[in-house]
Amino acid sequence: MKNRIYFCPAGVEWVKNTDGILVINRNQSQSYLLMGLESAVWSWMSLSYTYPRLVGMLSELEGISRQEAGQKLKRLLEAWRVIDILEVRETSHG
Amino acid sequence: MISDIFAVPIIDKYLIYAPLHNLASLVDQRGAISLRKAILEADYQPPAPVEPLLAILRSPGRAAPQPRTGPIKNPYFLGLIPTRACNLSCLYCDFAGNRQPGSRMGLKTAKEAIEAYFQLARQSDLQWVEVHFFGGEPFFAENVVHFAVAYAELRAQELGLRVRFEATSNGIYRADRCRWIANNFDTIVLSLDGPEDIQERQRPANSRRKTAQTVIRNAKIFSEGPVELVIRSCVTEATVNRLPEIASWIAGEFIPSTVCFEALTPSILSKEAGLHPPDPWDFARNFTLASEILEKAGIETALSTVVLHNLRTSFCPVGQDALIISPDGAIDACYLMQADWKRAGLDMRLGWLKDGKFQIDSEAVGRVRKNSVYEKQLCTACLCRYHCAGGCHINHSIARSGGAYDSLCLQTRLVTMASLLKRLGQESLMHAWLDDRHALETSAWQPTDLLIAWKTL
Repeated sequence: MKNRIYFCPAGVEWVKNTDGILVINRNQSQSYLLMGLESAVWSWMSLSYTYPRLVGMLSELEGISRQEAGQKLKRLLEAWRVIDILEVRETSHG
Repeated sequence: MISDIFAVPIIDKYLIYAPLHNLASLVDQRGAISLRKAILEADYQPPAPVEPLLAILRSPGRAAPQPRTGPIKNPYFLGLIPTRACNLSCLYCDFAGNRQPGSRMGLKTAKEAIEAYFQLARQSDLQWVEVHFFGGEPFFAENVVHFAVAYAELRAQELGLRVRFEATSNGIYRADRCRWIANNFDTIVLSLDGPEDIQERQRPANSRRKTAQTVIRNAKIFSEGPVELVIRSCVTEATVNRLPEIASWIAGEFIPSTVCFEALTPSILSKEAGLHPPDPWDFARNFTLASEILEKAGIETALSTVVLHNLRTSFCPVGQDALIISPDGAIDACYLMQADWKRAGLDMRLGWLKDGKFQIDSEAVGRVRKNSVYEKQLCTACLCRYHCAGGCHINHSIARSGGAYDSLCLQTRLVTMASLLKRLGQESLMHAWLDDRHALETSAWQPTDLLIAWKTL
């Protein structure tokens, strides 16, 4: 069985402000302002919630099914991975 | 309004206080007699020094504060109780933790409460909304808080509202959790009774593990973060004479905006644990000394019954239309337990959160709003009436006639008088008075503070 661990690469930092979460990627001299749903998910990830709990909270937040929430979360994480503010590592358990 | 002009003897002077006229003054006996006579007798010509005071007192002044009326349009705040459970077993706390191990608010309830509150705010054209978290210990059900904050921020952005978050907390969590709170909350009211020996004695964990170091570390994290830190210290008979020491310690270790020293409210548990409320005379003197220490560090000192910067008819959110949601969706005006109100012969239930909407009973709103200082005979002739407003509706019995002051009244009266003297720049007199028990008793025990009610001076 494989587990996925999501983490920020070195050089990625973030700060909360009144508009949302400002994520700074020092490696690429880029910054991103996460607002609304993105800000919520980033905030929960920073608190180390497990993937199933994130799906549950997102489902309630958006008023959508767990399946839809799962797909939405997957797309969001992939988008963050593409712009290098999130990395994924797979570990084996079993 | 001559029924709102108060006078209190302070050694050989008289403190004149008229909150509706925003006036505090110190006069000698002749001045007080002249003032009283001039107020009661229209044709009396007072001595020249009294005339400026008289002119102010004869002006219309501010209208006396009144309880709210009509439907709830502008709630004081939305209160969420994520859980009644707590991870501490504070020796004096009998209102929640140990008696309520179970229920936890569902995410759906939190979401619906926020949504209903924000819709009400929109209908009332409010720009600012406030969400306060109470417990038990609210972060003992941390996922509810994490979810509620995210949902409130999301919806506030969508609806064009500005949202403030506040929580009352025991400070028992990991450092990373604490940093999240520091970055996401506007105000945190942290219960920290004093240095390690006091904290461990009065606020042990359920597991009996030591907790003071965790709370102290977290108070430092809050001090370094953007959140406003308010430290709330419960003062007992055993700690009252250590207030200056506690103040010095806090000023040296942390950066709070305010330190709130509150006397222990006695309970069955506190008595069993050998904890007793402080002597009110010692409390007033040490509170004042502590406040001077904190002031030098730029920290405000507060006592909940002595709020001089505004006039109020109710001590607490009760009557100000706060909507406090329990885990089961009940909407109450008070965050204390239903059993506690019932014991006091009160009903603080306003309604229920049902199908995503507030279902509020307008009769219940009217009933709760009636708990105002105007219904409290004890307070009629007390100079603190618009600041203390009779204290906690549940825990402070006011079924007494005017002048029958209890410890809470005495400490409130003394701290109010000391604060007014300080505002007048009369620190020397204030200290001489605080050191003179006979003078303190003369000031505090007078049955009426109303200037016109005095038979003789």
